[in-house]
Amino acid sequence: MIRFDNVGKRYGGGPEVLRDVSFELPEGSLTFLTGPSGAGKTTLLKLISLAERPTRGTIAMFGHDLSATPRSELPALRRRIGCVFQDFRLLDHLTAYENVALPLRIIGKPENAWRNDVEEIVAWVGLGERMHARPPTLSGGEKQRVAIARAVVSRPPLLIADEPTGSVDPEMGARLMRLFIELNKLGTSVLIATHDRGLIEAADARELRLFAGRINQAAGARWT
Amino acid sequence: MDVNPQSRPARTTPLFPRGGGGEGALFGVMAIMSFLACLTLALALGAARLAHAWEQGLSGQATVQIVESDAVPMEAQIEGALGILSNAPGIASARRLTATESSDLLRPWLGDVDLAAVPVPVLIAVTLDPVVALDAVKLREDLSRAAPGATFDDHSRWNEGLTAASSTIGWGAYAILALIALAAAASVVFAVRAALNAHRDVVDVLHMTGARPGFIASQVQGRFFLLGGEAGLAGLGGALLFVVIIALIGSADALFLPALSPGWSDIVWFLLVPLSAAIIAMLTARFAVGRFLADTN
Repeated sequence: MIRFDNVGKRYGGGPEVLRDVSFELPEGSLTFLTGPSGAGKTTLLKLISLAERPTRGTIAMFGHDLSATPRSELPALRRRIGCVFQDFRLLDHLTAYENVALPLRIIGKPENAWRNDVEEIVAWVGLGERMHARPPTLSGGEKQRVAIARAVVSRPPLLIADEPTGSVDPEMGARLMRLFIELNKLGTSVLIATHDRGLIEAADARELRLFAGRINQAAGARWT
Repeated sequence: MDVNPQSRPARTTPLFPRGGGGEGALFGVMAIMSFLACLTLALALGAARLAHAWEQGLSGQATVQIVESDAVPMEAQIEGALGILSNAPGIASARRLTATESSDLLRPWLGDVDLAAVPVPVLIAVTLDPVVALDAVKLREDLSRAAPGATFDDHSRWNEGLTAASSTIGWGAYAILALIALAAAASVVFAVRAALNAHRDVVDVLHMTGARPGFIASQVQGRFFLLGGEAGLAGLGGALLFVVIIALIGSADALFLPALSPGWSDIVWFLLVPLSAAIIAMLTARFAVGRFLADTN
């Protein structure tokens, strides 16, 4: 599904944040991306979410070599990736329902074509009663669940999440993790960047370790 | 499912919230430009009216002027000229001006003097046939034989000059309208970029979720279409108020040539101004969003 070959990334004239990163994410996998702060996890997620382009190496996604993919085709690729960010990135002037509906709204279909799907997914993340509340009135955990619902509402084949449990209590973290595992069992490939060892140990999943911009050879440049 | 549909909003919220990015300032600028566009349009329409009025007034008339000649006595010249004019194709009628009428024409320049002692030329007022074309060259030849002191003036020299003058005013007005449109478009570009910067979070989220530039532009251009239209209506309202005030205080004729002053019939054309403002704002916003996304992604 995703393949990195000797990928490097630097911002401007600064040092390389990622160096010679090579790995492959199989279809239907559940993977944790771990490493200390500054290891390059967020940059790696930005490359996968097509928010950034590598300065060297090649990335292949869904059968497309990104270096040869014209810019006009990137939106279609982005629609196949659901993203959950640590800071949620919800739009405060929209309701929870409208935030979740965003990926369906941009396709241009009328609301009656997706209203039921959105209401179902919002209820699935446990926010049926808060559907028409706006983000400023939601708690951190509720915002995180809205962000997750938005990321999966269009049933993308790949879900990436950056520290999805970083701003919630352990109980809510475990609940969110169960959501990810359920999605994975439904066929979605899931990549979660986290520091939370408890989360990793609780799930029977592979781990991709980053250290100082490289896949950590000492830890075994491998799935563990 | 624990859904609470009671509090569902009545309609879809715009993706870009109103406000931010200096839209209030843009409204003011667009309203002022629409006001100026209405008045400039009135000038252009007035210039066209003026040209038409001059053309109609002058092109239907001609004059034969007869002065003393050694070869032919004056009365014979007049009779000969009237005879030729009455038979010439393209001439509807010809009438000798009376001595009083001639005096009236000269009074502004000579004052109240006795013209009997002055060799005043005799004038024949000629009305041209609007349907049959006049052969002015042949007429001049015929007149020169029968009345050597006669000169035929079809006013074309004046007509051309005045028409050219009014045409210049008209084109000048259209050029000003084009400049106003350009300035409005430039203002919209700045406002769109400011609005997108102010709502950068919305752009980023839309981008991340796979929105195409065309979709993002469609969310912005509708807003600017309304803003341009509303500002255009405000400018139109100001222009109408101006026309009414000018008409009420009755100073139009003192300020302008009568045909150049704004008329009630211009109001129909004024309605094009808010529509144009809305379309200019919408198209420019679409263009500006495209450039913004290309620059920032």
